[in-house]
Amino acid sequence: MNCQNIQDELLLMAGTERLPDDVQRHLDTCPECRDYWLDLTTTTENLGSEEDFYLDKTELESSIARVEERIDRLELEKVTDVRSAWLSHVPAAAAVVLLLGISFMAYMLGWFSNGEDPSTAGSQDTVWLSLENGDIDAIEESSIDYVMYRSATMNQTTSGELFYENLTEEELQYLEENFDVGEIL
Amino acid sequence: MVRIDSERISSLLKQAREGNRQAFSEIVRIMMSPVVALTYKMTRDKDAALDLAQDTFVAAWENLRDFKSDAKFEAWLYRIATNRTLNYINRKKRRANDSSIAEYASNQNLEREFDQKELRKRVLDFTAQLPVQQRLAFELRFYKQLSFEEMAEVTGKAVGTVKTLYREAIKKLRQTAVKEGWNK
Repeated sequence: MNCQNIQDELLLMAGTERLPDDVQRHLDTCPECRDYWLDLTTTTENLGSEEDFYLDKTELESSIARVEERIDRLELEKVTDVRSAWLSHVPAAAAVVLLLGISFMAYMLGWFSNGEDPSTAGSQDTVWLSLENGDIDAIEESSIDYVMYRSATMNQTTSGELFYENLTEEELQYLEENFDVGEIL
Repeated sequence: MVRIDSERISSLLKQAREGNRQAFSEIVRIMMSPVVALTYKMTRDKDAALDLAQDTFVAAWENLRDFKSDAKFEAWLYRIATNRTLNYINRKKRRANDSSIAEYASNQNLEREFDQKELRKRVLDFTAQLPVQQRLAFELRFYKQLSFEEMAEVTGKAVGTVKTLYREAIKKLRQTAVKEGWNK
């Protein structure tokens, strides 16, 4: 390395404690570069050290305390955020529990028992009761239709026959006079 | 030059990363003055320097998990401090609408900031003449004794660039010393 290169290197070394071996060897044999380095070292010594800018004890303690305070606040905010996140789910959870409760109560009260239309649920019973009591006038045509429909859909092949077999002669005669029984069966 | 006990820092850091606040407080105690020295020499404003140093440690605590354990903690901390300080200087410059760092620096009231120790004044007067990136390079190398690789990591610049910045700062230092007659 020539002197210019060495002096460029020395600029980079200024302020550091130890020179690389090859640079040190060059300085041992080159008075110009040695003087250059001496000048640089004297200059940098005039700049003191890191410690000259350190805080005094009071400043240090108050700065540490302020950092602690800010970190405490941060940690507290984090805990509060977690709590808030949980609390925000409480209304939804309450709604689900309420719905489940209502569903259970409804089940227990039989609100969803068999899905049968309550307005026509008793039609079959009414027909039989009227037939048994001989009160044929009380049987409406729509009720007969309903009973036949129910029997046909619930017991695909046998319901009509069972219904027919259970009739008394009077009942059968009435039905034959007033309805097209053959078509129904 | 002050040497920071890196082994002690590493041990404390391990505990701090597991959530140990006491260990982190100890790190703050060890590193507060070096960080303030950096922020003060960069800003020449003591109140701002203290605020920036405190911000640095709070940010370090928040991001402790992001720190890669194979890296040098001091360099990582200086990087946080440097970024915050450069942002502060830029904001301040924009506000003052003043592109000259030297002029900006001369506006600061040094007498109020630190006592009138001749040496401190000399350092601050010298560093005030440097463009901000050279000032940073000078601080990291001369006072913090970082290697050029560590400086590159701290500043986010190439090793060659930080070498050039430091070399230019030292050249100016020599010129100032001659002009001011420091070596007589």
